[in-house]
Amino acid sequence: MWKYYLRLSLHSLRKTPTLSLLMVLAIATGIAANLTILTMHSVVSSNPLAHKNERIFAVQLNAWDPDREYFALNAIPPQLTYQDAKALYDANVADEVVVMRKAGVTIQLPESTEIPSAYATRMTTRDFFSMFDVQFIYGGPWSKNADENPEHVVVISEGMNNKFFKGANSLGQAILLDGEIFTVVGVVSEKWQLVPNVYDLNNLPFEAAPDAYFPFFFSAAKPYQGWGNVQSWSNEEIRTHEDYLQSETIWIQAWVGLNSAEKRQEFSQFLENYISTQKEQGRFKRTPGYQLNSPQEWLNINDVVPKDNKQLLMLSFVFLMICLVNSTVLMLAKFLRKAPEAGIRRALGASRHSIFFQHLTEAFIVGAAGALLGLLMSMGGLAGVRALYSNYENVAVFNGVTVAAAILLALVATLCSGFLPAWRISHAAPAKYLKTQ
Amino acid sequence: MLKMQSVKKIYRTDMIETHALRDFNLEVKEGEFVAVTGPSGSGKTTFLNIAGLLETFEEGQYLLDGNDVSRLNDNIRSKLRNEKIGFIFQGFNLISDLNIFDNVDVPLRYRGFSSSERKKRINNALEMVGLAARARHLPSQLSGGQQQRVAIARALAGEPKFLLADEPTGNLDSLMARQVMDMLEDINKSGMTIVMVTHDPDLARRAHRNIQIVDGQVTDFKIYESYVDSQVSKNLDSAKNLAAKTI
Repeated sequence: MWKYYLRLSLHSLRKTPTLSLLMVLAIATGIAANLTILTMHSVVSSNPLAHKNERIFAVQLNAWDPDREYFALNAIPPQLTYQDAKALYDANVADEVVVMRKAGVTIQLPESTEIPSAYATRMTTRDFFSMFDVQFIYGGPWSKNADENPEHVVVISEGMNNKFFKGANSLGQAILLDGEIFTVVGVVSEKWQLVPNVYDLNNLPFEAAPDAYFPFFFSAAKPYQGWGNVQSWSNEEIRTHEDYLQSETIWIQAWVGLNSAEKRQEFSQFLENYISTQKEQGRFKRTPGYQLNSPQEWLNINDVVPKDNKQLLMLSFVFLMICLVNSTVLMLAKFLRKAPEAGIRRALGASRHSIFFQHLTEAFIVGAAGALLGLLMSMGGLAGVRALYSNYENVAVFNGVTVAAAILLALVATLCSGFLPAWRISHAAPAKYLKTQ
Repeated sequence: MLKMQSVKKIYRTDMIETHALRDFNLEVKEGEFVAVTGPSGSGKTTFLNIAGLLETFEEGQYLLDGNDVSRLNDNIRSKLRNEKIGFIFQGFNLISDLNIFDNVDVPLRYRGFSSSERKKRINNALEMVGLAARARHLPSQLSGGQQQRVAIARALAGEPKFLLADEPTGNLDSLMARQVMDMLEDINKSGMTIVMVTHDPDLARRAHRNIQIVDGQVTDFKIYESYVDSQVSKNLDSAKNLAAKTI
């Protein structure tokens, strides 16, 4: 009977093309708007490091103004001073330690005569690559020795590798970073992109992955151009780079890997001891002295999902409901106009179920067509978002969640828009319509 | 074939209660051709709807083909309607955007017949009413008489136990009305039970019996000579056959 219902449905839809198109468009518009917003929301609110919630932690140290608490987040500064970051690294207590910052660096080939361009880079310790599951297409991170006694080694992105080396294996090749020769030891796959950038929510959380990575402790050697946030509460005088390194200016992100409860306990004890020592020098006068945050906690504290994004999501569902109601009303009008035909069919032996499923099939076709069109329209919507807002380039993209949502929305749309009209027509008294033909 | 006893049907709205049938009794035997007459609002259509299992009733009993169908659920009533009853309406009630073949196909679809079985029945039914050549035409491309013949074909395709005809010639001119009545008589002669509602006394006289309904009750009935003749003829045939066997 399903084939019969399908045939009758297609016949019915072809008979009223304008009405059918209106119903499909109503559903498609609602689904497109909802899917576009839902896609972006699902990406911005996701935690790409949820599997490491028990093992890696963002470190916050509260060496802020004794007279005033930090003005944002959880009232604890999100970044560290250089002296605190170095102490954290040198202590060697955690299983993994990442101290890092975002820097703007000119990159060019040694033989290039063009004016070099500046690129977003990350100065980091090597544990960054294992901690954040970075994928390589060539090579890998530099050695621990290269961290501590910083060596001129660099990991570049696949995009950079394509630009400078035409995609070939560039391990061992030389590039200039701010005029200094660095050797390529690894190439990061362009597929690796954390969205949001959990490791550095202090800057743009949805920007593309860095173009290059090199050892953090080059920061001590010279003042690379910082492209991240820099804050300070102190009026101390800073004249030299050394003054900067010793100051209360915060500009460094820190993460630790703690693979067991014992290690967490040990590391917490280390921090408490460190803070006690620093208190003797007049620092760390605020409480709490520190906080360790899992990736999920870090996302929550930084409130990555903008409030208007949540409101927009709610509005998109309201809009979808309005579109479905519109489609329902149109479908109800169409089906009730066909009530005499349903009456004839009932007189000839069709049960209520048959009439119901016949019309639900028609509603399903409309819902499916609307969902498909809505999916195409939302692809256009997301392309528009990417074109207008470059920092959403990695957000406004489809993923498995989105496609599953599209299918679910289609089913809901079908049921919502088709159930009532199909039920009404199947329960119409057949005798009422037989004389009115 | 069809027996109603003390059937009562009431239509209720917020303000009014209408007794469409009251203590309604009627029996139709197999092979009979019964005409039902009466003034407008007398309950003819209500009787037809109940007989056709399109409506339920408050009190009484309805036996159809020996089975009590008084209190069946909608699904079973639909099934019985499909298998046992053929409908012929005044307004033909063909589905306008389906061709003739697909219109006759409608009741057969709900019967669950295979594609080949349906095709065979449809072709036979259309042959019987002389419209096999117009199978792919739409109803709008046929005359009124032809449309009613298609409706008859649709009613017969499922080989029902009896036909219910509601003013089958009401929308036809006299020539076409005669043709349709001739067809119904022929169908009845082949053994089909027919119950026909009509306002036309001339048409009613072509049936075996005329039942008159007034105010929801059977008030009168007539048995026509044609019925008497047909019964006598039937008895004579039986007597001849018996004599032949004895000899």
